[in-house]
Amino acid sequence: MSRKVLILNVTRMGDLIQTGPLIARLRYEWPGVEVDLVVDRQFEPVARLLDGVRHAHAYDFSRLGHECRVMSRDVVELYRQVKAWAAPLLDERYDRLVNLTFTRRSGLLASYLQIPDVRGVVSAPDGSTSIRNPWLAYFTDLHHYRRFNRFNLVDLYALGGSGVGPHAPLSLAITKEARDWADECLGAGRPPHGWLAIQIGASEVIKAWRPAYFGQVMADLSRRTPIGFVLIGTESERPMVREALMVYRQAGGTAPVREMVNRTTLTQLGALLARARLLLTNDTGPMHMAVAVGTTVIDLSVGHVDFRETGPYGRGHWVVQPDLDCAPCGFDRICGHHACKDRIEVRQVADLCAHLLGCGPAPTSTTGIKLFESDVDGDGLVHYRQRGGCEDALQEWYGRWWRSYWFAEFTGRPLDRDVVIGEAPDRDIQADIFAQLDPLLRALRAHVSHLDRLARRMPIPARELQDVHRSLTGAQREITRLTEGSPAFAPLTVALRRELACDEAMSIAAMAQARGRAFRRWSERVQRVSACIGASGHEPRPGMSSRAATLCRD
Amino acid sequence: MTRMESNLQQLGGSPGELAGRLRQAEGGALALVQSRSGHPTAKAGARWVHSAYDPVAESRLWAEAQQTSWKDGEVAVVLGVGLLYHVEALRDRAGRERTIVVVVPDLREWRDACEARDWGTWASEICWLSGPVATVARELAGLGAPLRLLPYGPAACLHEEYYRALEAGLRDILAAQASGRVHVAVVGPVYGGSLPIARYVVSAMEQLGHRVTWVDHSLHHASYEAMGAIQSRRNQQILQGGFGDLLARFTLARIAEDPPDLVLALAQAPMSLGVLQQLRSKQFLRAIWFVENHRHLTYWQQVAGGYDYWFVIQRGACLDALRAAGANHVSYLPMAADPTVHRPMELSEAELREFGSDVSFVGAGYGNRRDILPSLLTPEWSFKIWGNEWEGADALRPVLQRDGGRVDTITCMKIFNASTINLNVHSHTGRGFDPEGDFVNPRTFELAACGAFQLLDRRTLLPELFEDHELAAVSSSEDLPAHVRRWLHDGPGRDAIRAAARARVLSNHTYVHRAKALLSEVGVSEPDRIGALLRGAREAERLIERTGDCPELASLLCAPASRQRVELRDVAAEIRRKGPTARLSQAELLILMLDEYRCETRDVA
Repeated sequence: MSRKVLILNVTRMGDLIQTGPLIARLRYEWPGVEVDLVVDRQFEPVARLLDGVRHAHAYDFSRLGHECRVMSRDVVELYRQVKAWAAPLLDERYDRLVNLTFTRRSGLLASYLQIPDVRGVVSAPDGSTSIRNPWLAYFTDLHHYRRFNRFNLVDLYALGGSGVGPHAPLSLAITKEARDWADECLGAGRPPHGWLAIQIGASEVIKAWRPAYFGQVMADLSRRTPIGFVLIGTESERPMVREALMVYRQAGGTAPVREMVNRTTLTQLGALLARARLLLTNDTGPMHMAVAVGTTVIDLSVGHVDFRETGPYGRGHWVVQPDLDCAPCGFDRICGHHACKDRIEVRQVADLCAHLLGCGPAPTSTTGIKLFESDVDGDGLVHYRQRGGCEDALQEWYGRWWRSYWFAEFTGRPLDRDVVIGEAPDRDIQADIFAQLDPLLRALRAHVSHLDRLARRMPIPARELQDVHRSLTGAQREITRLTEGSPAFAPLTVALRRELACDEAMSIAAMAQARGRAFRRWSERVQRVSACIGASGHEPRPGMSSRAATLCRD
Repeated sequence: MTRMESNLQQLGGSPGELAGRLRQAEGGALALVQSRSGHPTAKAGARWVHSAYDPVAESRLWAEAQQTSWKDGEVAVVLGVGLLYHVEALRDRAGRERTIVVVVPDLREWRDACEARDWGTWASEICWLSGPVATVARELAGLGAPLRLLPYGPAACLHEEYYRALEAGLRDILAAQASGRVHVAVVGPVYGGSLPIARYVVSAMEQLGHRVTWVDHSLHHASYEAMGAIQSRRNQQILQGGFGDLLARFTLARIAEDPPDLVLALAQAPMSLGVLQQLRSKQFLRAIWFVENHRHLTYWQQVAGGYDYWFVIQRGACLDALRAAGANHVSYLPMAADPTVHRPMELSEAELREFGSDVSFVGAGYGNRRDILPSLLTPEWSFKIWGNEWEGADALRPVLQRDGGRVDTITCMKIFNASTINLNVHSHTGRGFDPEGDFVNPRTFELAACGAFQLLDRRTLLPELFEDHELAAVSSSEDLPAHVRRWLHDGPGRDAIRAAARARVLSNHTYVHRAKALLSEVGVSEPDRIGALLRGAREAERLIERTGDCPELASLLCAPASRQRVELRDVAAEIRRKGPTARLSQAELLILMLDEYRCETRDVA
């Protein structure tokens, strides 16, 4: 009997397209698997273009949000409406649910559907949020240490939703009708060197390079090569497109322009992108769409976008990232200057476009930027090779190291490539930290053993459990203090905090045991990491705090 | 059997023995014509009631368009009879469990429909209502379900008055049923005449028991004024415009944090079209009470389409102009008084000396007032003018009080109470009384509520608000001194008028009356939202009755402490109170999921 998997992806168009490799991986894991999707109604057409999807269960979640918020429907109507929609999902009796929508509400839906194997955000029996599957848990953790992340989220989706397997590219099946439409649209007056597609807007202003710069790049290119421009975007992005066009014309741009803003269906947009030679874009849904239809992409990775997480997936795409200490900024940060956008020079982008269009050498000036080209490694994972600019050595070392570490940790086998050999560049600093953690580790072991013993006793010794709980809470605070900012240990502490917050235990004893397991895992990881990076066995340097040891004695 | 008899059989035992009444009715209200498609169609005078080409196809389109507004559980009330093609089409599209009522204002028209074509069985599945407006309104209200009014324009316009009266009747019934359950966000202006009105509206809504979020922008007045110190007029306008946009976004952020059932802006509230469109896209209901003269303050043209409901203080051209500018629903809602503020006062001797006079005027120095008031400068009576913007009115300087300083509300009330005759001259930029004077200003209601005697310029909308014995109105500015002279010497006459005026305001013209009227107007048009709240359809018992095929939900609805109005958030809060060792049911998980959607506000502000 074939297996059934439901993928919950109620986010945006790009995320949906990025689900493709997971579906391929599931078919590798379970040949003949039937894969269904839950998607927002507005992206249902995209879901239909994904290969291997049996059925897309669409729902207007945006409208549901409005209705819940403004109470335009009463609680009975809301409940009845969603229950009726979810009834067929319950009837399907799926074997696995992969929740790629990292929200509390999607977790509640995931639990409501009562599927035995849920991966991703799920609701605990008491309604709190938990995360199942280490890869998808890692996905929620990585925002705390983004600079060291070297996994594209497409790979995380596939690894978490299925497991290790061969690389599969993003892919969308564009209909003949849509291709014919695109041919007709771009056929007349086709420039000798074809069309360069440009996505000027983005879902958030912070993610968009300045429209004026796009206009200048277009003008520059129009002087170098007989190419035309296809401008795409949504209606809300039209003002940005207008601004770019105004600058383009003021700067003397003469090449033909097809302004296609809000004039395509999603399928037609895919066909249009398939006809383009190149897409110059911010990190957006159309970027993933272009990748999925086989068009090379230049991704301008600005604002809070980190291309290593969401950049173009596959071989031969290019990324321009500003070289700025604060770039990429945190998701919750409201940036008042957008200085990263001004680090990327028009000339640099135009040079890269010209190079990829075959009418210019590779860019030589990378002042203020970093340049990357995407590739696929021997493990089928996407990574980005640096082609210009300077990467921080420590960041690069830890990036590669953590990639190896987590892969081995979660899969039980080492990466074929990309193995880091040798000690960490900041080994001495990390050794100092480890030396301070060491007494804490010993005390933790004792506390956890004690916790285990107490949890097994009947009746539950509530007061003693509370005492141990207090000690562990103190230890957690100290762990956070000591490891904060440490590239070697902070990621482990993030995982610890998440595990402590996300337990699905239903009794005090089970909660205590879950807590004990989390601390034990953290201790083991700290020791393993310190041994691997050469931080074990060093004495703390004079003057370092001995507060950890004091705390443990208490 | 004739066609008519055959059709009448379809009516079966309709209430009021309609068939019998129909038999007795004469036809001839409509002229029957054959359409291009071969179906009979109709004209009333020069007006086509159905399509001249294909009335069946046209009616199908109409019926289809109604589906978006006609929600499950609502009774459709079709306004407009014609040849009933549209009713048949609506019946065809709707499930049999859905109720359709057709209101027949004129039996002659119905008889024409009966004779024009064969009715199918669909006619037996319609509830027909005919008779006096009040009776029909009562019968409709008695159906006990939310009513969705579906006007079929070409036929409804033949009986505009009847249907308007029917809507008013339904509003009155709803207003009488209503109790405090609605959450209204009142958005006020930064400054100006509509600011106190906003306060009165807030107070009235609260008196009715509704919950009010008061977005008070008067807090920002000092900053706004500071920008006025910028000498460059251009820069000043840019800054104040930007400040207005900022305040609009501030409003949005406030509203997002505690979404109301209705956003009610007062005239001059800083609500940009962009913010209004954002609110619309998120399904917020938006209304404005435009308490300004639409001929003088014309920014309504830019934001007409931004509000679902416009309430204005003028009729006629104002309603037409707003509709032409894109306003969907425009209603007349006159000004009022707040009897807790505007009230008779016992004044001390000192106060009577300071604020009292034979004749007084409170207000700004508009052109027509500068023109009229000098005629009242005479040794025959004492005269005092209060208020600002009288610079340059040298003739009036001797009677101008406090050197033309602004007068606050409490002082104003003291002046009203202390003056023998209060002049109330509506502002106008020309000379004399405003020849286009239509609306009645708030001062009229405020003076009346104070039990003060006033002489005011005659307004076209005055007679429907006050009867002749309730106010003393003057038609021409030239006649004003003579009227002053007459009333000054008629103490008993003044007493009778001011008592009658106050009684009238208390019974018909308070802000509480207006708040009720406003909400019931919105409620009739939004039977599933404001209407449902006013009818109490979201009380726990009523909700439980509707759980039907979801019995698991009924027990969750019993839990919330407040039984008056139970919403998603109340049920969710109760579930969350169960704590960390609870094992939630599927129903509870689903409720929490819905509540998570409710809590998401990032996309609003």
